[in-house]
Amino acid sequence: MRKRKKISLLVLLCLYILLFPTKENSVFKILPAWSSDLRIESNIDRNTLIPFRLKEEFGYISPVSGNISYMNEIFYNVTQNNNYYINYSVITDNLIINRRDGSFVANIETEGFPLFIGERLFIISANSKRVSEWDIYGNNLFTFESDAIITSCDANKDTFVAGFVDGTVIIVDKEKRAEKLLKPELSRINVVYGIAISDNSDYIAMITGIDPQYMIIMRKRNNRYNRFFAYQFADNLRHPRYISFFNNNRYLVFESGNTFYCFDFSSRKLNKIELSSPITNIHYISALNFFAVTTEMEEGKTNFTLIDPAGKKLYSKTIFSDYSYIASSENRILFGSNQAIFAVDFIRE
Amino acid sequence: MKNIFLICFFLNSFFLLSMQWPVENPVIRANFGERSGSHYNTGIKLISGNPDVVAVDRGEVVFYQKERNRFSALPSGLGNFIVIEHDRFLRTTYGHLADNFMGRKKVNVAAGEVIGQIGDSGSSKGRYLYFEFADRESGELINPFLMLPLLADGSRPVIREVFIKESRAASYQILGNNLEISAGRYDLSAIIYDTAENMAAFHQLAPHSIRVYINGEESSLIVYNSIKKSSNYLVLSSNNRSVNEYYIGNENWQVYLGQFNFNPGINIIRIVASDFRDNESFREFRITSTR
Repeated sequence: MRKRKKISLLVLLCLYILLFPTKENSVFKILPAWSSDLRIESNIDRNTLIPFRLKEEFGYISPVSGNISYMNEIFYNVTQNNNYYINYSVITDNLIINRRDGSFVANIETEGFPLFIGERLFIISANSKRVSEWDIYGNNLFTFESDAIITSCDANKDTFVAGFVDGTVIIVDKEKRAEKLLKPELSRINVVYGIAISDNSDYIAMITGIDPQYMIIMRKRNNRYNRFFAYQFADNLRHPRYISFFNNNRYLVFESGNTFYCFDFSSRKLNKIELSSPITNIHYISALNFFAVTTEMEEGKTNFTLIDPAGKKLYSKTIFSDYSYIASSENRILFGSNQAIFAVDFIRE
Repeated sequence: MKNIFLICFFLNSFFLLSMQWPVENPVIRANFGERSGSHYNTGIKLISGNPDVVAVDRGEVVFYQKERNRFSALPSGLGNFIVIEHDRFLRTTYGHLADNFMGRKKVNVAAGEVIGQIGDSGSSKGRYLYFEFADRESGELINPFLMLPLLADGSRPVIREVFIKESRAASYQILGNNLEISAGRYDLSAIIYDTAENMAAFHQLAPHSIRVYINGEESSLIVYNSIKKSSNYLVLSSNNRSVNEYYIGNENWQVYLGQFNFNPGINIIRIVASDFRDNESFREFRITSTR
């Protein structure tokens, strides 16, 4: 048994070195840091733990050592933040909040799918028409029900925004008052495909409409949001889209199938890069000021690309895994495949 | 007024000639307006011997979501689902589809075109289609029975029990014949459901309407035609009640019928429940109110 483990560790290490060889390019030196064989260790630094999620497992890992403090099998889906998680079944009327060490915190007797956005916990009802916010002790803070399906949402510490299939957007302020956002209706058909709010609530960005389809940024002035920037897509994609603010609201990143977009608020310039296949994950590495992006390739393969905010490709690698997890700590990037996690350090030359 | 209603009825009938059920020989598993967990069922759940799901009318796919998309999509109990926009501001939603649904492959669909198969994706408790009608102009969710060809149904709704309580009282008591009460305002509730005759096992469904007559006069009409948004909640349009205000008690089918005034003397309460084929059931009670 011990011999088999040693062999598997050796294979893992070889695979890891093969995937992330020490490589120098014009911008970075890339150094392998560790590879994790997904064993739970008791002796680890608990201050640095970050959440991880693989295809079938989730847990908390130390980016310093690669040691895992807690790991469990995903039932149907899991939502996590740095301190808590909810691992839930597809049909349940009982959601259990746990600390990152697995200990019980609270029980919420409601059906629906939970979603941590930062420290805030939301539950989307099974019919996708009701969203409610809860504290981690299981107290309901607000509930909002719509006649249309919720297609996307985002929150900062004060404000919650949600977009709906009928094109409406609601804003729930820190007093939990829900208000409809008056946004320009520029398209033949109105649907919200993605929405994001900046940390300071100054901007709301959304991907909306068919014929044409827009990415619209609304800016808050005198307690009203007005159109600040609009980008018209060449085609209409009719599925949910990723859109998010990064780096203290300097960047707004969104995708459109194979295309990665980054709007830089300081230069008011929209940068983009066409990738070879649909984007499946985006992660911002603040210490290095670039984005780690994965794209879905043919069966069993994922492409891993580093892109700077100007839309320049810095690094690209194909991984033999159909699942991707990306996280970072300082200049260390953690990459998860189906059943393993690797870490590499990017050192700017 | 009556003429306007008739014109609307005929216009609607004309438009609806093109509509068809989204599955072949549908069997209703859950009806519009029922309680489903903590919310109203704003559509219907259908099973069929043929797994093909078709568009009820020509239209355009305006939104679809794959259950496996955990990158950009919110988790949804509808699993794999499609939203189609038709003429006249109508939208239909098809949920719990199998993985091989139409998705991005096509934008415009013809009436009766296959868009997917019945599946069990999302939070479905079995293999069925979740189907919903929305009227974007009025902002209401419409009972699909109003929009689609009528189905054969020979079974009648059941009024199992009726309850009464003085308006300020905490709990209900069973309403029986010859009950003596003090005159005043009272709340009525009842356990009412329709039965599905073509299900293999006994199955309960929401009826289409419930009428309460006091001394021969219609005092309340609850009709499951549409659900709309009111403040932060969805309400049944006919009585403006949210799911938790309408479905009361622990019994799944106990509904609130309203508040009624009983003057001194003999009062006749008649409760009539009907389904979409106008199959009716009623129960009548004679109560005596004293000063």
